[in-house]
Amino acid sequence: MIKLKDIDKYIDSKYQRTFILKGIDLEIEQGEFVTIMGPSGAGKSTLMNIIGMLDEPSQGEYYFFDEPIHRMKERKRSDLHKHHIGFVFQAYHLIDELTVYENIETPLLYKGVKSAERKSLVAEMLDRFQMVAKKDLFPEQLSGGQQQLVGVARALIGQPKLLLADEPTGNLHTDQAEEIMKLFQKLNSEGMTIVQVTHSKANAAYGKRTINLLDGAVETDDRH
Amino acid sequence: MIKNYFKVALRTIQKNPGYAAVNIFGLTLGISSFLLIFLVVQYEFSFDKQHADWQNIYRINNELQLSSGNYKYPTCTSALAPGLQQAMPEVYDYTRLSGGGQQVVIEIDAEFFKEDELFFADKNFLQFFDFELLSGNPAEALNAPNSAVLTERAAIKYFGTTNAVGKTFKANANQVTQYNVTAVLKDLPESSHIQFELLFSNETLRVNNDNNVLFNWNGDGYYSYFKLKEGTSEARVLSTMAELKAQNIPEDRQNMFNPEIIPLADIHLHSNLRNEIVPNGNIDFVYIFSAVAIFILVIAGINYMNLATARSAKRAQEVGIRKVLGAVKNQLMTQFLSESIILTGLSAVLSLVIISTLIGPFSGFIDRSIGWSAVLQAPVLLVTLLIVLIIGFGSGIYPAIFLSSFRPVVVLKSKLVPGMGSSGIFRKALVVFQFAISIVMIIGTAVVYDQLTYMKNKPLGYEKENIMLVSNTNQAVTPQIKTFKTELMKFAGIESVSASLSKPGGLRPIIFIRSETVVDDEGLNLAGINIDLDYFNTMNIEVVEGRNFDPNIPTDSTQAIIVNKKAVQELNMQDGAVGKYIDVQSFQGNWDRKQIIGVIDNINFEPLQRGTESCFYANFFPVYQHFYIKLNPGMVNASIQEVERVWQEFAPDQPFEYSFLEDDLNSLYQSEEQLSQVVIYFAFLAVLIASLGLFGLASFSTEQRIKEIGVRKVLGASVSEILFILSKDFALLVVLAFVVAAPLAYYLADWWLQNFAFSVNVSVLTFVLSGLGALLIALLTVSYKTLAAARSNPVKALRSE
Repeated sequence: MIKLKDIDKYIDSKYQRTFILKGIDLEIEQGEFVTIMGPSGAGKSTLMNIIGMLDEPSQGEYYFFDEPIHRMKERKRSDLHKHHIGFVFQAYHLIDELTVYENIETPLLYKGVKSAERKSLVAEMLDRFQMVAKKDLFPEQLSGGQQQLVGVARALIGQPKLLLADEPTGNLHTDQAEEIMKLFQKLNSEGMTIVQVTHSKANAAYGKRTINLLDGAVETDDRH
Repeated sequence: MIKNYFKVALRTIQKNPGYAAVNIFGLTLGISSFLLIFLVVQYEFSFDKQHADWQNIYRINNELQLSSGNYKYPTCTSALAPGLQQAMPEVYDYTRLSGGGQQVVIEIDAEFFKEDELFFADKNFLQFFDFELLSGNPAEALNAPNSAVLTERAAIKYFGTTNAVGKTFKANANQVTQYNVTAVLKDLPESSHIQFELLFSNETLRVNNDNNVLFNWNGDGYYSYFKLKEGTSEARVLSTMAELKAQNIPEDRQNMFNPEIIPLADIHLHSNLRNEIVPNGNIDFVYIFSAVAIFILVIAGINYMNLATARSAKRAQEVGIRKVLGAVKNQLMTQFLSESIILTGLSAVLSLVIISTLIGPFSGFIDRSIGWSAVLQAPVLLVTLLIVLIIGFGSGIYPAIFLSSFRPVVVLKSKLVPGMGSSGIFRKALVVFQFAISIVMIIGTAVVYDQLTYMKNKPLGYEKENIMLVSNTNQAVTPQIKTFKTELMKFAGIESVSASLSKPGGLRPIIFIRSETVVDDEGLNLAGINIDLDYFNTMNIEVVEGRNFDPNIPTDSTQAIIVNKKAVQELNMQDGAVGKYIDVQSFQGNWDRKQIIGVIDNINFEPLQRGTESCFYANFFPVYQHFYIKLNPGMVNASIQEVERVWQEFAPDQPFEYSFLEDDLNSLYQSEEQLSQVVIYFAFLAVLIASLGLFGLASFSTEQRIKEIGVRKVLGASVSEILFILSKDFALLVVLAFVVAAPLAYYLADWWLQNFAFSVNVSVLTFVLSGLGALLIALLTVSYKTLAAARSNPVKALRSE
């Protein structure tokens, strides 16, 4: 599903080139649950962003379902990203001005889904996450765990093939975190490919494969 | 999708009420001001367009080219319009008004009314123009001699009913005659340069006077309008008139006959001649108003642009999330543009409500009558829609592009917003622009105000305080002037009484003279002011050479004249004018020898827009329009009563009318007064809106610097030091704005002051004070925010990171 070949990401300043990622080779198959770990500054988020097509590598090749992303035009890439990838953030990143319902609905709007279909899709999602009663609340009226649930629901509404989660439990209490991780596990068992970044070994345990990054390079890659 | 954009936009407005309020308030002020002025400008351009073929109608003006200068009048000889029609079939119709400016007394059942808004009109006048008739036949109403047409207002005044056709009254126009009312007109629209209450038929003149009066190549005084076939060039009319001049005007009167034509629709805004039927508007004012309107709208638009970009720090995250969720740039731009259009639309609706209530008082304030119904007409609504689109798009597009171009990775990770540096410069440039406009308006206001004060206070060379003017209606008191004056002088509150044909600031005849001291004295002329011998005493005018008139010297009332210094120059008598003789042409055409007995300074008899003319004063003939009565300032009210009593005694059938010279003179500058008031109001609004924007900007920029302030405070900076650091940037912007504004303001002030023969110098002080004023306003505005920031607890600011 994902094939990274010799990916570099660097920042050029006046006198030196700083590498964030260097020589990353990585393959992820459909249905995997991958955890990326590593100390701060190891390049975890950058790698995530490149996989999520939010950022471009400075060098190297990236194939998504065998399509060469690195050779694609911005619009095509944005299209691909819109239809196949869902994001979950540490800080939830819900839109404050929108209700739960509207937050979940937003990706569908950008995909151009018809109103009637949108309604049923959102309703289904609310039902699945047991948030029907909260659909008209604004993010600030929810707890952190609930907000992240909305975040996950929003990521899933577009029926992505790949779910990217950047420290999804970083702002949550342990029990809330556990709830989210169990959800991920369930999604994975239903066939969703998941890549998550985390500092927590406990969270990594939910996955099937752990990649350790250090100074922009893959240090270990274990399947378990 | 569009529905969703609107929903989100409304939600955003709801969630940020302060931000929305500042924006809507500013935009509403801007749009209201613009629409208000638009209504006035539209009204000014609507003049004289109620007539079906207004585009074909012209008026003939005539210029007298005299030694003392050129004098253009809106009237010409009676023969010119009919002569033009005979000579040129493309002139397919004409009509004339005459006898303007006279006063008649109308008698109905022993009741007397004074009427001075009247004309004699040609037979076809009511067909030539499309003034609405209430009753009567427009084709016949003015055909017979002694016919009279009344306006509704006049009919009600005289007869108590608009149903006046068939009634009769007596009037002393020309001679006391009975007139028959043949038609009643609806009151004339205010947007007409032709205004009257009463029309007599021109046929009346033909019967009473000799038959040629309506076709005479001599004389003047006919407001002549003609209709020109479409497609005929104005140049052809002019050349035909030149031919007519060559054929009909004798050699010695050629300089008195230089006709020009002006399209009917141009008269109101482009014609400000002596003797206009009513004082017309002024295209310069229209320009100034329009510029002010556009300025204010631009300032309000910039406010939106500035605040929206400044807020981008807060919205950057939203943009990032939306992009991650799949939004493309266009969709985000549409979202931000809908927001700006909704804000503008809300403000526009609010503005329409506001101007509906304000237009009445505002138009009344500048002497126009525009009702609220004008607001809900197509032009205003269309312009409003256009404003919404232009401001909505124009000021929304930059924030939209700016915001939608954020890269999600960057804005989601860090709190810093990319590109703030460069956009900071753009925003600052906008603030400079806003303040530059505001400063131009402040300076403009100051200059107009200065000029007005100057005109009101400039020593004119005569006394204007406590001089009461009583109009000598119909020369009622002239035959008994000596006893009238003696009777008045008995009262202790009355210090002096004099009479004159003319009034300062008003009209005075041009008199031809001959003098041996001038080589070519053909066409030599002076303004001749007919006065009685007490005039200089009453008006406190000093005779600087020679002597004043002396009632005890009998020749003083027959052959003595006093000239001003300018006339001395014109007459080439610099070596001493007193005692010299000149010949003066009387109205009968005779040359009378007069002796100069004194010289006075160049007093400002004319309004200060015009220069001083060379003139002479003499007791020519016993015709006086005004009595000048100098009152003891302590007894003004009692004196007025006494003058009225005496007037009633001498002229019981004539209405008693008076005014004060000072008020009359000030009214000459009424339009400047109105301009200054209006400019003051709008300058205030402009500054207010600009300050509003600055306030918003200050709150965002201090918010952004909250961490810097925290660090500085921890390092030991005092509140005043922080205040200085924060205010310095804003002050710099205002200073820059001043540098931009000053030359522009100087240029504009100079342009406007050229309308005046006597004007103030544009002073440096005005500029400095205006600049300092703007600076003060700006600093006060931002101080509210900066002070709060400077006083804030640094721990709080730093902990939030």
